Amino acid sequence: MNVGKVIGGNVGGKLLIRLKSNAKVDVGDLLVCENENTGEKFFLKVVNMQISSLLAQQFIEEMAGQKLEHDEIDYNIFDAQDRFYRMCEAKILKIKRGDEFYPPRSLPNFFTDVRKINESDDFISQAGEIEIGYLRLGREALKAIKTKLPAKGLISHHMLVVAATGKGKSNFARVFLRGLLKLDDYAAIVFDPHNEYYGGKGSKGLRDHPLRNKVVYFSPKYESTPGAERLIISTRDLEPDDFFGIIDLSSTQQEALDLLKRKFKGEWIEKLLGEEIKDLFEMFDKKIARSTLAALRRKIYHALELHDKSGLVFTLEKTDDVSIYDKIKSAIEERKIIIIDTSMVGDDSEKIIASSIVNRVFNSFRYLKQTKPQEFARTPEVLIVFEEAPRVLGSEALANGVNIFERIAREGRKFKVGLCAITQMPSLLPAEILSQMNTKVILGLPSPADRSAVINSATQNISDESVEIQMLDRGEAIITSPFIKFPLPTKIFSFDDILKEDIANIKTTEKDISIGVD
Amino acid sequence: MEKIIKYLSKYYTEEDKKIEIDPSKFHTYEMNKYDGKILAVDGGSGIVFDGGSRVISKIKIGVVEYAKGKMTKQDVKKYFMLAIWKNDGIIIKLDPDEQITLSNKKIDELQNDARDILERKMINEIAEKEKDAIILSDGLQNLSPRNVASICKTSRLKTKNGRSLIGYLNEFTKDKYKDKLWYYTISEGEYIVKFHTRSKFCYKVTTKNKEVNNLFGAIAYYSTDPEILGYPYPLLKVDKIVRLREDEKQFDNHKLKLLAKQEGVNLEFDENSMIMHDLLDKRAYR
Repeated sequence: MNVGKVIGGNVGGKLLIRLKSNAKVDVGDLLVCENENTGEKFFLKVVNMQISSLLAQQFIEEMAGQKLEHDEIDYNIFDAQDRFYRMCEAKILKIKRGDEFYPPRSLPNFFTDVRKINESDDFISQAGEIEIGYLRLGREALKAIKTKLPAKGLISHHMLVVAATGKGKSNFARVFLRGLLKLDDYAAIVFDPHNEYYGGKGSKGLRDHPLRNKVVYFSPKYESTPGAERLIISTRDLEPDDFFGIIDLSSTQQEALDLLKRKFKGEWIEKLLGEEIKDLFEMFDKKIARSTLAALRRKIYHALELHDKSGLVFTLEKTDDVSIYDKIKSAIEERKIIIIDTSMVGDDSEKIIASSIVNRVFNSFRYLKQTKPQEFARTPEVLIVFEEAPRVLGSEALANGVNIFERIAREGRKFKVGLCAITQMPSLLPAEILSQMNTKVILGLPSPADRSAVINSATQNISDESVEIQMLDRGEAIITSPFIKFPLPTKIFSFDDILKEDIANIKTTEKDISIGVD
Repeated sequence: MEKIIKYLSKYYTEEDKKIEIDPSKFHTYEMNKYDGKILAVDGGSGIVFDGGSRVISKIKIGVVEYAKGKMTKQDVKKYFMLAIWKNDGIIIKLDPDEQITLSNKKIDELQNDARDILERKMINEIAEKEKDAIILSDGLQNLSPRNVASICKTSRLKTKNGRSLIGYLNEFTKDKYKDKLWYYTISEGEYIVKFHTRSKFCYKVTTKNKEVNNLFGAIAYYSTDPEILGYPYPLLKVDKIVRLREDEKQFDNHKLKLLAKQEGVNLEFDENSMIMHDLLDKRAYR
């Protein structure tokens, strides 16, 4: 059904469409019009709407005033549909000639009929393995068309997921991880500060998925969660690098940590925390000031949340088990999704857990590429999912110095390590970091500063979509990426719904089941 | 200017006191939400090429039809008319062909007479076909069908002492008939009518319809559009579709000259004998 007619526009700008009075069109809708004489098919997206009339503004104001102020008097607006109407502004996304799509360098004719897109338009027949939702037309989801993202390359080129609270960031991440579960060449490490990815009482997570045998879950509360592994890190496995750029350390303090490590090897933290300050001062021939040692002791002790010799995650004791780093390395080789439950530890502690794990993964991949390129070629791409990303990638965090997350943002793609940075305040991330996040999943963002940060750093021009981004409801997204043809309006699947479908469609074996619900 | 205003004020303050209005000629009436058909006919015309002794005009005659408050039909007939001097007389040629007789001798005014004739012709045809409908005309006089009401936007009707009758009645009724719809009978079939209580205007209406209360009540219903309160909306609508805009005239002018050129005729020489005023006007506006 036609919803309007083209009445103006220009290349590089927007088309103006007069809408039929009963047409249901919203900002974000996808429309189609066709030039009969050239056979060109134009795919359009509504970016703004307005009400209009051919009457002079003063008449309209007077008419409104008469109706407002003299309600008791008879008024009838005749031909209202002809005289007062809606118009929309639409940008041309692509032009189709024959079977090929082209950039928008042409225009439809005056009075060309415009209709809504439908499944027969094969507009979205793009490659991609990870289904994330349905094509969204304004507020409606076109359920016949599923939107997909290609995993290869997209993961190591980093992803930014932005939304205000309650708009569906975590749901998207779970849906995306569910997509990775179905593939064989990818792994992911998820740092989960709210313990919402694995699932538990009252909430569904990846442990409920039929492919849960590909999920590894580390938690300090491992005993109460079937299938979980203990999240424990011996301080002997930590390196000074794990703290750099993560907690606030001066250059003098950083140098002191290096000296401690060099002198005490794996026991450097035990010594820092256990020896008398005056003895340490003497051991280093008075090269490290007492005040520096005292400050370091205080900072590291608090950051690791130690109580006497052990905390919830970190311990000064030597652990008998295989270290968590080796377990994660094995899980990556097996293309698994690794979830680290950091919901019970403080901010600094969580960042050190993440930093130490990510450091080792990145360094092992880098080492592999340099020394065993053939083996490196067989390694999977790894996605690091980190919530509230400004804690490690924000301007304030980076003032503490370079950390592993920033390094991955800049260099990760060379070594098959990608970041999925999740935040509700993208404006806190430096422009350079934002521009490294090639794929952006934009859910509702009411703040103008956050919108402009994302729009300015997007790989596709979405400056016209600002109004739409502001108004996106829960689960509604625009996705920009160099790996897709145009900014993709999407209604993200509900994880719970898609889980039900997977449970119905994917057969599990006894072995699979035993891991999740033992 | 001050002298003139002082002189004029005497008429408004002293002379108007002598005007006598017959109260028995005043009547009030009620609006009725008329469900039947109401049609409005109007014409528009303009010169699209003026070569002095050879003039081409465009004439548009339009009709709109409403029923139950909604437009149900609209139609516009377009004509081009050539008026050309030959042997001390003017020859008229209409495209599409239509037989009309014109008596006016001023070549640049003939289009108005032609429009008038074509408009009457359309009204009579519609009145014959739509016997139960109300047909509104934009001010044409001496129309014979009983179901036609002609509404004049302007009037030179005057009181015995020379004041505008409509102006005087408007002032006279502003308090006494403030919240009423009224009409004043001038003579049989000739009325001054107020179609909306909030309107500042009243109009001269001529009709052979005897049931004026019903007629005016129906017209009043169609005069409630806030764009122009108190004037029948169908007449406004038909005026919009037949009005010949300046850009339309220019478009037709260029097209005519182009077609003439294809026939080997250059119309510009004759046109230049007539357009200097227009050119100066346009320059002055800049």
